[in-house]
Amino acid sequence: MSHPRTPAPHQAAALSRRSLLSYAGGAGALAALAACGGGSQGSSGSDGDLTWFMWSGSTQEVDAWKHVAQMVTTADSSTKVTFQTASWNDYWTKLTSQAASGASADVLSMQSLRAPQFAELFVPLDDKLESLGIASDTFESSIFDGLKVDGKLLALPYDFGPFVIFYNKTAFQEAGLALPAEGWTKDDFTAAARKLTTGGKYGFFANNTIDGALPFVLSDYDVAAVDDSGKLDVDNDAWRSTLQWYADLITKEKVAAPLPSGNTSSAATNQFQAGNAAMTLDGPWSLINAKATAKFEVGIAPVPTGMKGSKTWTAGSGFGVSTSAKDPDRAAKAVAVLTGVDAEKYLGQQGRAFPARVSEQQSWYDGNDLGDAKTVMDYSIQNSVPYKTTANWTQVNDTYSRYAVTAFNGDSTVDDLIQRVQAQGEK
Amino acid sequence: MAVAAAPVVPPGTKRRGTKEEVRRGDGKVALGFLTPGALGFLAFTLFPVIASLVMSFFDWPVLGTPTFTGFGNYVELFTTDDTFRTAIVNTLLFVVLYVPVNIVVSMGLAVWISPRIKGRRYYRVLFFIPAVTPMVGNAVVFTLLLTPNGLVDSAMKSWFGVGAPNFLGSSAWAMPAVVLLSVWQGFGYNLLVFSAALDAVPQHLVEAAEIDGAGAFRRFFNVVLPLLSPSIFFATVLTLISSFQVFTQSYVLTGGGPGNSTTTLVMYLYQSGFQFFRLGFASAIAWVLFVFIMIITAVQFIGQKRWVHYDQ
Amino acid sequence: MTSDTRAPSPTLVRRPAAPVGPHGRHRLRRTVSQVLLTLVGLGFAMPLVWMVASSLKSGGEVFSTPPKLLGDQLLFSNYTQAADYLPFGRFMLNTLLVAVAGTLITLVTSAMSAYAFARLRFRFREAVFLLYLGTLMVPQEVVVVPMFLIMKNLGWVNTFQALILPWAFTAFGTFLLRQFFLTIPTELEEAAKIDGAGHWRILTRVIAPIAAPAFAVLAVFTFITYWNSFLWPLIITNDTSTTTVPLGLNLFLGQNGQEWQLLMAAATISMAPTVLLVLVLQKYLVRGIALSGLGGR
Repeated sequence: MSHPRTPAPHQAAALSRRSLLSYAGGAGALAALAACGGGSQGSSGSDGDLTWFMWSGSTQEVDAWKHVAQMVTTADSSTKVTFQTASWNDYWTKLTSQAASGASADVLSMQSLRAPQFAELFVPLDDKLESLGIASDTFESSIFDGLKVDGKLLALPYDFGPFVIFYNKTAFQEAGLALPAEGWTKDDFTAAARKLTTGGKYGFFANNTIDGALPFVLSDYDVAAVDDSGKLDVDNDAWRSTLQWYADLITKEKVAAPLPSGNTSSAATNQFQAGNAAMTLDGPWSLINAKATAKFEVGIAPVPTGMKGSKTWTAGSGFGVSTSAKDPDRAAKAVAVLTGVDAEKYLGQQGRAFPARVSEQQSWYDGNDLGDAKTVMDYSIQNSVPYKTTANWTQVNDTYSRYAVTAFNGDSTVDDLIQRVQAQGEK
Repeated sequence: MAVAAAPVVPPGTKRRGTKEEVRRGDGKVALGFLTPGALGFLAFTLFPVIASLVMSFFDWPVLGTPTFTGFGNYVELFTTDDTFRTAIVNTLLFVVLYVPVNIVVSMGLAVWISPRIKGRRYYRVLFFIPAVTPMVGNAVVFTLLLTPNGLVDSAMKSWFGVGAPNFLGSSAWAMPAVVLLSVWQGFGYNLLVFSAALDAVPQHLVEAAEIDGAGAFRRFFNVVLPLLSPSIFFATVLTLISSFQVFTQSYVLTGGGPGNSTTTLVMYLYQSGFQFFRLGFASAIAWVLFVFIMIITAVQFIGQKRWVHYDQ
Repeated sequence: MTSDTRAPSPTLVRRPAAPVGPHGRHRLRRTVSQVLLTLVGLGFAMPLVWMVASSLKSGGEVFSTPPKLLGDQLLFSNYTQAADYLPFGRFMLNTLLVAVAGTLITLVTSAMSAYAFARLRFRFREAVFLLYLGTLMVPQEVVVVPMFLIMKNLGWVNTFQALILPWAFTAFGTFLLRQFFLTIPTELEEAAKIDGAGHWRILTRVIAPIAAPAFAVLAVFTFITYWNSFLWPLIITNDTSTTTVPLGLNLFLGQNGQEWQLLMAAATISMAPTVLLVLVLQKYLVRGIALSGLGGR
């Protein structure tokens, strides 16, 4: 520095030892907090202690999961489940870093789309089903199969759902349009989107995820993103023409909003709930929140009928036993309780899950005043396939999300998008 | 206050007179004073730095055992990896846009907030606030402002009849948006540096120039600016180093997209290391980044002789 | 300054033509300047204003088209809701603990090392100091990967010490304080030495009080760095017991629920501690920054 100036000592003394000492006192109190809060990862405790790692987004969610964890102790008083959590996005990063640091929980949660990627972290449950007294047909078959990788069952499902159309019932009625229902076609969909695009609002909000395009590909071509041998296969005419149609909704027809950014897969949900787009695609897991947030009436409808009918995909999540579980049998019993009748009934009523147990699904409709959704849900589930993915799905989906924005907004082409995603699949 | 007018003295020069003392030294006392810091420094700075260099020559997965691959990671980075090339270009683009804008804006405002401005310290604090708030919150607000039909878009529509570009959804505009957020968030630091340096400029020099008939601009460029050159130098070096490490802004604002248009070196490092779990590969990226920063800093220190005036 | 006295400066030419006297003109210019600066300040503060305004809207109004500054009602309840939705108080305490402890350790160890480098004579002093200086250039990202493995081997993943210790021993504080100590004349210490004071006493009783602005700058910058740190907590923490504020903000954008208005409320609250710190210490801050040549983040 060219002008070093030292303050006079009396000025400087203003930040006195007294104030430094009071800071130190505060730090001491905080250190006490640290002692009881941090480092809770340790596996100390009695033999019946299990840890369970699950994503969550709010205190209410955490409370619901802790309630279910308590059911394990109620069923077997020698077992106690400690709940650990992370946000949905961070969960997947941490699952691996925990495994690497030897600090995996005993019970892990898994979403069907990511099952191939994390299969090695789970103990297959197939030969435990009998001793647990679980018949496979008590669960919805599509999600029971969705949690299998290479024929091995990694987790027991607790929820699932088909991807469906969410629509703004109020906007449809005000525009004098017939409400979307079973049997409506892709032309009906486009016509409605045109009519509802007015005054800065859009008829449709396209997702920049594979999830949002897949139902249309299925309905028109009966083709998925992953072929029967488990390989990614999107470099074909079915995907090309569907994605082109999808992009045209934004760039040519201008009935769907431009995509706002590469990282907000949630933009569709936000914009729909704010009333800025009259239709979007989403799963039943968003329905309760959408009804609570939106200032209009929210309806759901099956995917519009294409050349091969109205088809969609289902996905869901479940709980499984970690390969590093100290007591795998005890962990498996806990999983059985966490996905048991009581837990499923509770989660359904609370609106936390559309139950994977067929017998408990009614609790979701009853507990949340969603009776009118039942026909659509039943129809969509019947006409659905499990969403199959690859072992590097995070990379594939990440590439798709970022390049879909450029392709759908007209900065690049659908061909470019497809080639980049397919190249990711070859790795 | 004049007592301390001595500039920073290189160690050892002050007491050269007492050679005997130097030989005797304070070795034991020094050891006592250095040990707490030095232990932490060895464990948490020096060791990881060397370890990361070693790791960069391995294929190092999170699960499983590392295998030595020599220069494999570096060869992959520089020959076949398109994303890496894009990340370098994006990082350089960010640096080239961000650093000059930051310096010019902070210098301009520092001059503007002169002693004649009432309540100048409140302005300084105001411009410093974003620098001390979590980037996540700031980035999220910018998302709301810059999104189609957001505040900026709507304001432009009603004032000019033409909407704003889809900042975060367009390959061309995403990087400028990241720069905008970064400047908004970051220039407060340099504003404080320059304000302090300006306050230290001897008024009599400026007045002398005024009497000589130098206009305001000439007074600034010929008298004030040379006196500020050490501050500008330090500020530029530190701003440059930090701008090479840009991560959080694009992580929250754009997720590196659309396409790869805002994927920076550190973002690619994070993705490689902690999303795709290639730790050796990520270390190699880190070392490329480090070498970049070393070169730039060295160039700056060599170049400073031409324009930085340390004498008064 | 001596050159070109012949050419009249533009100011001199215009001066006689000005309708009002130099005094009045100056005052006018100053007023205009002040008003313009206030406008710039308002524009600059817009995102912050928007953050606070959005924190009082209902969920659907955050994205309303066209955007409105205020919603139909001011929902102050969002603040209590945010606290219910996530243990945000806990996150604040976590971060406060990490930032305060990290800052204290940094201040103490940096002061000791800086004293050794500035005042003590020992072998390899210059060499060791150069080594310290060299690491100043190392970006955090270079050490993040091995640091993660070190933490893993120590069993420190998801602990407070893992959030605090790795960044409490950087060369930065040592360098900053050493530069400052060197500007303090040794004569001040002689008296204390004659009284028989040892090095520890000299550091704590003589040097530290004089160097208070430098300590203030180091404290504020260290605190802010810890408070806003994102990358490292993202890597090393696993659950809410150690979640810090920047990560906690991200939690509001969950899988099923997007609670933007609560996120804005939490972001507004999370600004408070650092803004308060800057306000309280701002006098020291400007002077300390001038002395240390810091900045450029």
